[in-house]
Amino acid sequence: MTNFTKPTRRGLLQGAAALSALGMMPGAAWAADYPSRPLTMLVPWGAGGGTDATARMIAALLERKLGQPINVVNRTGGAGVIGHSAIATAQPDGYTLGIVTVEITMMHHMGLTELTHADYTPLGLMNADSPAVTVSADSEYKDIASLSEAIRASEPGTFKASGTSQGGIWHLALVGWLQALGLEPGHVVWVPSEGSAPAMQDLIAGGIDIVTVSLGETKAMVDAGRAVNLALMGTERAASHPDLPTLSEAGGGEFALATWRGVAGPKDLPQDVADVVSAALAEIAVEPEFTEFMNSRGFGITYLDPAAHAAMMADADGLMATTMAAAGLVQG
Amino acid sequence: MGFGDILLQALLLVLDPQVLLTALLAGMFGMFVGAMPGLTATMATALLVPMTFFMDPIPALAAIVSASSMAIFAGDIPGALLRIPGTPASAAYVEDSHRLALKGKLNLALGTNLLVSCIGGLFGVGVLIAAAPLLAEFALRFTSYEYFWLAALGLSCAIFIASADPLKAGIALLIGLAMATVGLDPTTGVPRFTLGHVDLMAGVEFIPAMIGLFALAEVMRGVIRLNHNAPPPPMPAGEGALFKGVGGVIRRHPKNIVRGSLMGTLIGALPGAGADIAAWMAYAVSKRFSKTPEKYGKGHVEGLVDASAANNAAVGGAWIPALVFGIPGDSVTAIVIGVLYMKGMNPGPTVFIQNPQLIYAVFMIFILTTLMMVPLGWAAVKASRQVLRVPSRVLLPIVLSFCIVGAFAMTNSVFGIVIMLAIGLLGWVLEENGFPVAPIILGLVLGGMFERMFMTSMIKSAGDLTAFFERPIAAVLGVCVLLIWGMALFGAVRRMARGRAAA
Amino acid sequence: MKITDAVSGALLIALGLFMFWQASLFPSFGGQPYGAALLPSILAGGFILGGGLLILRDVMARRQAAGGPLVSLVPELRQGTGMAALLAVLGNVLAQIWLAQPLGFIPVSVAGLLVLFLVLRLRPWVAAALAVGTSMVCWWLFAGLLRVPLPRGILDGVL
Repeated sequence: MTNFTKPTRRGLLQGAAALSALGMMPGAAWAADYPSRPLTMLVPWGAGGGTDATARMIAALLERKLGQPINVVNRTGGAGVIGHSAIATAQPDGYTLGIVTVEITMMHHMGLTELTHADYTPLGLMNADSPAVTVSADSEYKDIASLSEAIRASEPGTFKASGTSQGGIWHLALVGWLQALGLEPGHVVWVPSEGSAPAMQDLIAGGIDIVTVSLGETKAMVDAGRAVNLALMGTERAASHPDLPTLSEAGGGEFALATWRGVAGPKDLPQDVADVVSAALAEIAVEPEFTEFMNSRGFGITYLDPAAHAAMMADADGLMATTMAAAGLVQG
Repeated sequence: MGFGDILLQALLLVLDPQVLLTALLAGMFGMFVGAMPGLTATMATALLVPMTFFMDPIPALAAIVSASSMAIFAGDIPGALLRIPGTPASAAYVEDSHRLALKGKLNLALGTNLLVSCIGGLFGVGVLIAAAPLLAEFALRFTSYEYFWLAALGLSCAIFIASADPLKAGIALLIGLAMATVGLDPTTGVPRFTLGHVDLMAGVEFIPAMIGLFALAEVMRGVIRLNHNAPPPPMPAGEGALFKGVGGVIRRHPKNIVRGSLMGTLIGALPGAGADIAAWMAYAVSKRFSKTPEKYGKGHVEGLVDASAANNAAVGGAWIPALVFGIPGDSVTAIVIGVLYMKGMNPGPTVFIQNPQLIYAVFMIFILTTLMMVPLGWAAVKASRQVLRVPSRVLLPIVLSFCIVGAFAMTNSVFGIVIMLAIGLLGWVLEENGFPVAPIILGLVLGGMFERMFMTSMIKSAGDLTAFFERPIAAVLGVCVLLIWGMALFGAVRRMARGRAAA
Repeated sequence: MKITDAVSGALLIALGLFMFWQASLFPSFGGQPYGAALLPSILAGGFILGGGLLILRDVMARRQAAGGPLVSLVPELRQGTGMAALLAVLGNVLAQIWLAQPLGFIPVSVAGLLVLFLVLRLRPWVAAALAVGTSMVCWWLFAGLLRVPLPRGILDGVL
């Protein structure tokens, strides 16, 4: 501190050199004793949302396993582009990790960014959720078969659906379902909304007919008896809703899709560092604290190890490419 | 279980010393965050979330309730002292409270803010307790058409707030609206005016813009004046009791308090419209129906009464749809819903049946923290008044430092500072040339909602404009908006004609 | 900086034209006549109209009284060291934008505030103490208490 009180130029320079040398040291020595300083976990979505809550839970448990504090930082906006960019462009030293969501397989098709899933080191998929077809409680359609029939028989543009922005994951769920029914993607009008809450509000208020968002997002309204889940767009029933049939079981067409959240670092993370984190994540995925939390929020738990995580992202990218092209959302 | 038993159980939950201590500490934290220019009630809540992970439900909710209501009041303090609103909810009446302070009536301004905030807060809680299911039912009738008209009504406030030069105020509003269009378009997802810059895809973040417009511009003006040959006289310290004369103000304006509280609660209860919009609309309505509208914006206490009551009433109001339907009333309750789920108190009508003692405990905490606001606020005002003893040449650079870190904190990146700088320079030049900056904030706050709801409605109706009047509530709101604009245009034409005749 | 209304009017018209041009490049939405370009185009029209009215009003006022220069500095900036103080404030902000990432928040803040305090004519040792103190308090409150990820820079290993 003497450098600050007696600001001679030489003293300051010496101090700065000493400080920067100190700063370099942990950088050179991480491989053996990772992690040796606090970590940052970047979240591309806002505080209080589902991704944020999942990230904070994972961070809290990871903190215990790695023995270093983890600071959760929200980098929001731009439909997820900004947060995902921040994760991809961080130093690949294992001190900046992030939550990568399904949007990474969608944004580059829309021409919003150059980033793809290949720009990350996957460390473990933690969650996957399929959307449900949900209608208002006073809707005349009580099951998915009659709703599908009515949509098929209707003039294009009669039915209106909502749940997220134009080209968002829930919009693609609708498009994929319509395609499975053999209909044009615009047969049901997509009304863009900012997230699922306004869409649920509009559904109950009678502004739209169908909402295609995840079960967790419809839970409050369904519990209140104001909305009804008709079918799940998944390959199998959800553990939290064993009575809710899948689309194909109930005769609503053959289609399944999921949104997911995984932990990842920037590309080219050193193998030993990646192994430390992914081993910890595998343990967290089966810890009761984590599973109880995910169940309470209505989030599904699907754990995939890094290799399977990478393969799943590549698959999802292909599915998104075809669905988005069908919806006319692919730019360039 | 009888109602008395429920209340008793709830009372026991609340009177736990751990709960009371948590509420007190969170309240002090909320006071601090609210008083810092640029740090908002939402941020106070978001920062508490990681801590609430490891708490029981009641202390966790007590912490959030306490911090968010304190932050809304505390935003008034730097507004009065430095003309830098601490939170967007205080931006509506910053001009009045600062000018009151310049006249040596700092105590009157802040004392009124504090007591009326408390009354408004209690009113909001009262409505929450008595009529939550009923009001939530009403709020659920709002589709995009109703919201469009509501946003239009909010923007129309600019007409009433509009100052000496309506043309320049209108241009300032347009600038705010134009800033709100930067970023990814909410309906089609295409980037607009981003000039190829990734960070701009998130748009012009509202809080750094406000820090720039008010705080940075104020610092710039301050340092220039400081080094000028004749700096202006310092603000009078305003000694004496904090609440002196406040009783008189409250007695003179009972109607304003009720009106402001009512508007605040209703607007707060509407999902997506919170304390910020409530304060603006209450101020505009107050000016419209005042006997002395010409005094507004020049250090008049009346608008302060309406708007202070409204923004704190909105805090309680926002919990109505959150508790009854799990739909957030504002950005704070969006976070609260997450916490409720985490604690197994799934929002919805069932929560009133399954866990009534928890819900009533939350209500009691609301009342408790609102009352606690008075002594805590008194202490905060006392402490912050010491700021006036600090010479400007010391204070301004310190304020600048807090502006920089505050702007950084909103985006967690340097980009927040870039927004603050760009908009601060713009605001400084505009003010020098007689453009008011408050309408810019109004445009930024409401621009996104206005456009989104218009586009959503147009998509739903396939371009049919009559759909905007087909639903009853939408029709009433729409007619109100058209009447306001019609009357304003008629008045302008008549004034012009009279001016011509006189000349 | 004082700008005559006629000049601000012209600037607003330029802004309006720029927005029109940009908005015309936005892709249309599902073949409908309205989309991402609708509100920006309306606002652009508003800027052009408002700018035109400002020019008109200014020209009419100038006909009655001789106008001053089109652009001028406020007197405070021309006298004393007002300009130096203003530049010191802006320099602080720019330094945080450009230099904080490599060097860290604290060194940039201490250096910047020291300059600003000195420009505002504080005694050197007071200025140094305040610069260090303010930076440390900011760091402690925001990076420590509120966990804001302020850049650590060269002090990474120390903090």
